[in-house]
Amino acid sequence: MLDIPRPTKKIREPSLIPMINIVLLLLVFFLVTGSIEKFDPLPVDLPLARSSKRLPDGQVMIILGSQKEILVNDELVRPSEFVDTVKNYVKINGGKPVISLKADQHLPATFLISIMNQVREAGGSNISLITTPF
Amino acid sequence: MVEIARTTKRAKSIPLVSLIDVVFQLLIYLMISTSFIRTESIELLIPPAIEANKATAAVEKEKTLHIYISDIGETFLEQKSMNEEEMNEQLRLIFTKTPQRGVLVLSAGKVSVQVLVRVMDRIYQAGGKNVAVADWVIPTPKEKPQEKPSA
Repeated sequence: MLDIPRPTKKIREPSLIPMINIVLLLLVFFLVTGSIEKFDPLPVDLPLARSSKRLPDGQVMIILGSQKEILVNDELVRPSEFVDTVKNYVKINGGKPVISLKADQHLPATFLISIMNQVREAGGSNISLITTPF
Repeated sequence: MVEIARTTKRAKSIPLVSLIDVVFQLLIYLMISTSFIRTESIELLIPPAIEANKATAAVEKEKTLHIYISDIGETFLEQKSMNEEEMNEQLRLIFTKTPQRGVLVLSAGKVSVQVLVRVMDRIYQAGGKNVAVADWVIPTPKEKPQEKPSA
C-alpha cells in the first residue's frame, strides 16, 4: 500500500488585527458623525424650512402630534390642562424658559397658533419651532 | 561572579478576543442609538411681541406689514394677491430699506403648518427679523346682508 502523507491539519487563526482596525474605524465614524438623540414618544413629521438655524434645545419641549395630541416634556396633557401645565414649567424654570415646539406639518396652522396663544397666556415668551432643513 | 539567571523576556500578546468583544458591543450600541437626522429651529414671535415692535416701527414711521394666507394657500401682501416670486421681490425691497419692520402673518382656517412655515421661511430669507403669526378671522357673512337669498 502506498503511504500518502496526509496534509497536517493546523488550526489557522484568523488574523485579528486588521479586523480590530476596521471595527475601531467604524466605531470612530459613528462617534463623530452621529448624535445620540432620544426617541420621540410620537412620530412627528417636522415642517421643512430653509432659513432655520441651529438653536439650543429649550428647557420645555412641547410636541403636537398629527392627531392634535399635546405632549409637554413627554407627558400627554389634556387641552384643558395645557395652560396650567405650561405655567408650572415656566415657574420651575425661573420665569423665562426657552420653549421648543415640535409640530406635525399636516396640522392646521390655527391649532399651532392657538397653542402659541396659550403659551403666551401661561407666561412663556421664548418659543422656537423645530424644523428640518432641506 | 554569581550568575543570575535572567528572566526570559517574551513579548506577551494582549488578549485580543476580549478587546474585540467590547469594541463590538460599543459599535452595536452606537449604530442603534445614533440618528443622522438634523433638526434646526426657527424663532416664533407671539403676537404681543409685534406690539412691542410697533413702538420701534413708529420710530421708523412704518407700520406692521400684513401677509395673509388663504385656505387654498394663496398669499396676499397687504391687499394684493401675489405669487411666490413677486412676494419675494417685494419683501426683499422692503427689508433692504427697513430690516426691523415687523411682519404679521395671518393664516386662514385650513392652512397647514407646513404652508405657514414656508411663508415664514420666505420672509426670513428675504431678510425679515420680526415675524409673528396670528389667525386670519374672515368676516362672517352677517356683514353682507344684501347677499342673502330673498324668500
